[in-house]
This record gives sequence, structure tokens and C-alpha cells, in this order.
Amino acid sequence: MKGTTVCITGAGIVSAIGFGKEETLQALRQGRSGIAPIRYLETTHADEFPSGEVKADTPSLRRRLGMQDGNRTTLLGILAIQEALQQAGITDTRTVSLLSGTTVGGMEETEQHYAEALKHPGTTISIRTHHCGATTDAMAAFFGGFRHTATLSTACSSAANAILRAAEMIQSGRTDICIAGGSECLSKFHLNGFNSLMILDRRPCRPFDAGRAGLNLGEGAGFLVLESEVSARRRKAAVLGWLNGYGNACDAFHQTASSPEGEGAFLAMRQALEMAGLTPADIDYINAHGTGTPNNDASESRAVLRLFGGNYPPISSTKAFTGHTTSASGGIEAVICLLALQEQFLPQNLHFSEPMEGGLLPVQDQQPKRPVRHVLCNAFAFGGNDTSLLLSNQPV
Amino acid sequence: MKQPVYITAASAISIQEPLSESWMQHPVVPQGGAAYAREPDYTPFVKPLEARRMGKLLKRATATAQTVLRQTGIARPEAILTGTGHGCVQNTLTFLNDLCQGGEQMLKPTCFMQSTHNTIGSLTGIQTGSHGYNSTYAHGGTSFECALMNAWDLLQLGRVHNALVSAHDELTDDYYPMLQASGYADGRMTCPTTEASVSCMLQTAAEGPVLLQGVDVLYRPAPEQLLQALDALLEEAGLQRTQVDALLTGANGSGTDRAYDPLTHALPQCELLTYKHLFGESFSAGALGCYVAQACLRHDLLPACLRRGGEDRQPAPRHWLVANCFDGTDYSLILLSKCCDY
Repeated sequence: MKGTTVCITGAGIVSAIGFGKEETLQALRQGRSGIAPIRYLETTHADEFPSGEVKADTPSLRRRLGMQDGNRTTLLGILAIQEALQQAGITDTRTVSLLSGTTVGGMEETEQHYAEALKHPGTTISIRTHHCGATTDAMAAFFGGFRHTATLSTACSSAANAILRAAEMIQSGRTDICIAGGSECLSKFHLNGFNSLMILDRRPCRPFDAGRAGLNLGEGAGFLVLESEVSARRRKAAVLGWLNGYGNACDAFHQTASSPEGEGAFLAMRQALEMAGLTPADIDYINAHGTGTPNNDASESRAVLRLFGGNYPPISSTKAFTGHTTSASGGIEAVICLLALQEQFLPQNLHFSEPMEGGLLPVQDQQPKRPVRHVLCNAFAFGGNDTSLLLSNQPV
Repeated sequence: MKQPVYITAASAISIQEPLSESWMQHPVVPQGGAAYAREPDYTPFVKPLEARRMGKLLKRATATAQTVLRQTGIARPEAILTGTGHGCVQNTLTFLNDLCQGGEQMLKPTCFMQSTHNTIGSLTGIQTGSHGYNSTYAHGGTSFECALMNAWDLLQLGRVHNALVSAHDELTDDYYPMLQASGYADGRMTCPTTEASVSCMLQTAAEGPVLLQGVDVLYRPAPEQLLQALDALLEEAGLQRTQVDALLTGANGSGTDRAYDPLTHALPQCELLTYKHLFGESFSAGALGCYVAQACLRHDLLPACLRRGGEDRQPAPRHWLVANCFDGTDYSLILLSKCCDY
């Protein structure tokens, strides 16, 4: 990559398949999905739409952190950030920047307060902890402060754009260390929003399968500590991986549908490769956006085939494990990619039985046929905000 | 080596005359409480059929973006960066209200779709057919400044030559009491709670009178950290503290006004200016600070209305520091200069 080399010195994750990297890795290796009937979110759709909830209610998340309050998005974010900072050996965050991606923000808390307020005419709810920036700043406050905080909100690519932005900030010399990723909890608001768009599957989702019928929502958080290589060396921090390239492109097609040719996805992946100075043949694995909706998987398949041809690398969606964690997905899946690079395995694409027409054959065998050195991690979003990250276990 | 970055056009919809700089000579003097923006005629920007499907925020975003694109002759911006504190509030509240009142059935997809913050920047992407970099910040009252900083870095890294940077926030009758209950519409404020849409074009391979010299956003800085950030901005611009001759702050009469004290003390020679008494407070107010400063530099005029009882000053001050503090937690600094060749 031209300019400053950006490496990864910490990673943290929480999702339906576990708290932390160790539990996540076990679930991935054992093929254990976290998709289940909804148990913690109060909704009339609890048994209708299987989802990937983090297996703990909000009060017990607070207890884990010794906190009196804090909404679910904030708490999940803190858990992942804590793990990442710890691994990176960072105790003083005052010169570090925090970039978090979210769209739900404090909505899950707000919708409860709003419903309560409706029962008592004349009362007005506070939205102090509601907006996206408030959840990021609440995470920052837990750790005592950061130099800079920012919240990316590009729907389902929010966390991926936070990670990409962290690299830009390091390369432009603004900062040496950034913690970046995203956090999102399940809310009635977006569960019903996705339902109104008729893209939720009533069965466990089947990404890239001919019979796929939509997505399962999930929740969680994933964060990476990104650092200039010079800073990591100076701190004698162990380097876990490298962010060698990234691409952000806009599909510019439709607010909730991807173009048939997957233009935004194609451009984002191509940019990531170009930045790293790699060719399609160098890519050993793609963690697809792969939501399981008919539209996304068709469009993403087309983009992959356009860029890689018929000889495309192993590809899988891990959303049948975690559910679609929307804004957090780019962070959660970047951590999964890092685990794949470190442990040299290919995350499986669960629930695949029959290829779709013009589609891809996703990973069924965890054992890679060649070393996993360079992987692409895709996150695409409403509005065509498409982002691809190129992670490696070596610099380029 | 730093690349010069020019703000080659900017437009705003606010409680002042929309898409116009007439506020410089004929400002609307706002009352307190909630004050809604003045709507322009949207027919030059949106077809009537399309307009009916758009909320007011999307119409405003279209109008401010199109104005700037037409002025600069750029059909497809290479990057589109958007900041919004709350996005399309009207749609969000409609969906939330339907959900809580009517239950979890028969909800309107359009309201949900337009409740996501990036629907604004994506719309600009779709309207202009721009496949380039497109990102959105929703970081309270420094959303615009985060977007501006992102654009700045892309320009400095040489990844793009131009970037459309915008900020959009709207106010509704249902939303205002929530802002009050949250302390965001503080009773001590001497300016109204308002709404704002601002777009500006940043370019490297261009010229013009307005030079953007740098931007920084800080979380809960100690006074010395704020001054360190100021000095770093000045150093990058090759300036001394004594050369800054205008300090435009986001002071609004509330308790957070003390946030600007370290800056006013560090820059005692500066003409101290405010803008929220004319434009009000909102999550996008910081964008209006930038807009006001660039308008003064472009017209080489410091209008009386910014000077609180003073008279018009011409030429305008040459080096401007625009400072905004959101809720006592998030601070932004924007440094602008008049390009000496103009």
C-alpha cells in the first residue's frame, strides 16, 4: 500500500456466537450458529423471525461491565473495545481516536421510552442517549476519553467505513492509533423496518442458496485497533495483521436495492486490490456481505464474477452464524477475517444446498487448499454505500 | 507537502433567506424557541412528482447540493461526505409513532428507508450518478466537521480532487420538545433552536478567494489540548496565533459558552464574532459557522450583523478560526483564510 503501512494490533468481538474471539472462533470451527427465536427483544415477532441475539439481557451486560446504565448498543461496543484495547496493550486512550459505526444508536432504548410516554399524555422523552454520536461518546466516556471520536452511519457498511476511515486518519498523519469498528443492537424499529421491506426470512438464512428468502437480523460489536507500523514497533506491540487496502464506492442505483451488475461492490473490491497492489489471483478468501436476500446475493455474485472471473477465491457469508448485524457487520466480519488469517481456516457458509443461477459456490470445507494470506471483507448498504477491506497476515 | 484546498462554492437553507447571502445586508432577526427554516422554491431542483415523495430534508439536500454543483460546474463530485445529527427526523418519528401506536404490523417501508442517516448522501450519489467515495457521519453537533475532516484527508492523500461536503438537520413540532427535554434546546440559550442544510464544494485543482486551511475535531479536550490542536492547525498553515484576526464561535448563551474561553484568551487580538444569534442552534449549526466565514471571505465583507452593533467592515479579516462546541463534549476547529491572490 502506498504511504504509511497500517497494521492491526488488537481485536474485539461480541455477537450471537459468543463473547470474545475465543468463543467466536470455537463456534465458527464447530459450525455452531447463534440464530434462534428472539428472546431478549420485546416484540410480537419473537417466534416469527429467527435472529442472532447476543445471549444476555441488557442488565446482565451492565453487570459484566460494572455499569449502572447504558443502552445496549453502547454496552456491546464497550465489550468489544475493551477486548481490543487489552490485546493491543493500550491503557491510556487520551491520544487514541475512536471511530464507531452505528445506525440504531440508542433507538432500542428510545422506542421503550416512547411507548411508555404515550401512556402518559404530556410527557416528553429525552433523546440524550438516543442519537448515534451519543452512543459513541458514551463508549468513549467509559474508557476515560479519547482524543477524537466520530460516528460513521452508512447503514450496513458503517463499521467497515469506520475501519477504512481509521486507516485514512493514520495515513494522513492525524493519529498513530485508532480503534474502529461498530456496534448495533437489535431494535423493534429496524426489525419492523426490515420486515416492512419484506426481506426477513422466517427460517434461518441461506446466503447464496437458490432457495434463499431473506436475511436474519443480528446484533453485536466488532472493533479493531489500527496502528501505523512505526507506532506498533515503537510500542513493541504484537502485530496481528495488516489492512493493506480498502475501497469505498457508491452503487448510485437505488436506496434499498443493489444494481444487477453490482457496480458499487465491484468498484469497492477493485479499489481495495489496486491500493494493495495485488491482483485478483492473490486473494485467498472473501468474506461476503452475503445477507441472504435474493437481491444482495445476486448482485454481489455478479460483482465477484466480474472482478475474479470463474476462478474466484473461496467465498462465504458468516451471516448464517451471526445474523446480519447491520452497522456492526463490517467490524464483526473484519475480526472473523483476522481469525481466519491467524488460524488458517475458511469460515463456512452454513445452510447452503443448491447454487443459484449465475451464482457462486460458497465455502463448505473449512480446510483451505492454500495458505490464507490476503482476504477481502465486504460490507454493502442501503443507498449503495459499498465498502471492501483487504486484510492480510503480511504487509505488501 | 500540504495541498491548498479551496471552498469554491457554498449554499445554505436556514432561518435566513434561503440559497442567498442577503443575510449579510438584510438579516432576519430571529425570536427564541423553535424557528423553522425558510423554504426556497424547489421547482428548479426537483420535479413536483419527486418532491411529493421526499421529506423536507431530502428536498433541501437536493437544493443545496445542486446549487453548489451548478456554481462549480461539477456534475459528478468525486467524493460525497455528509453529516447529520439525526437524519430525517420526520420519517423516523412517523415510523416510531406508527410502531408504538399501531403495533408491529402494516408499517410504511418508505419511512423506514428514509430514517437511515445515509439516505441523504446516497440520494446525492444517485442524483449525480457518482460512484465515488460516499460516507455519512452522525456524530451529534460535530457531524459536519467530521465529514469536512474526511474530505480534507481524501484531498490531502490525493485520492480525490473535489469533494461535496454537506450537513442536514431538520426540526419538527414533535421533535422540538424532545430536544428541550434532552437539554439540547437549553432554556438559557439566547438563540432559537433551528434547522439547517449546508453544502460546500472543496477543490484542490482550483482557485478562489476562500482557502480552507485545516480542520480538527476533539472529544472533551482539556484547555491545553484545545490550544495544542489550534497551534498544530496554525503550524500546518504557516501561521502564528497573532495572525488570526477573526474568531467566530458557536456561542449560544448557554452554559457551554465557557468552552471558548481558552481560545479567546489565546487569541486576544481577534475580532470576536458569533453566528448563532442569526442562524440558531442545531446539530448542523457548525456547518453554518463554516458557511458564514467563507461567505465573508468570498465577499470580502464582515457584515455589521455579525459584529453585534458594529458596522460593516471591509476588507474582511483575513484569517478566521471557526470554533464550535457541542454539548460541552465535542469540539471543532476550522481554519479559513482569504487567498492573497484575490
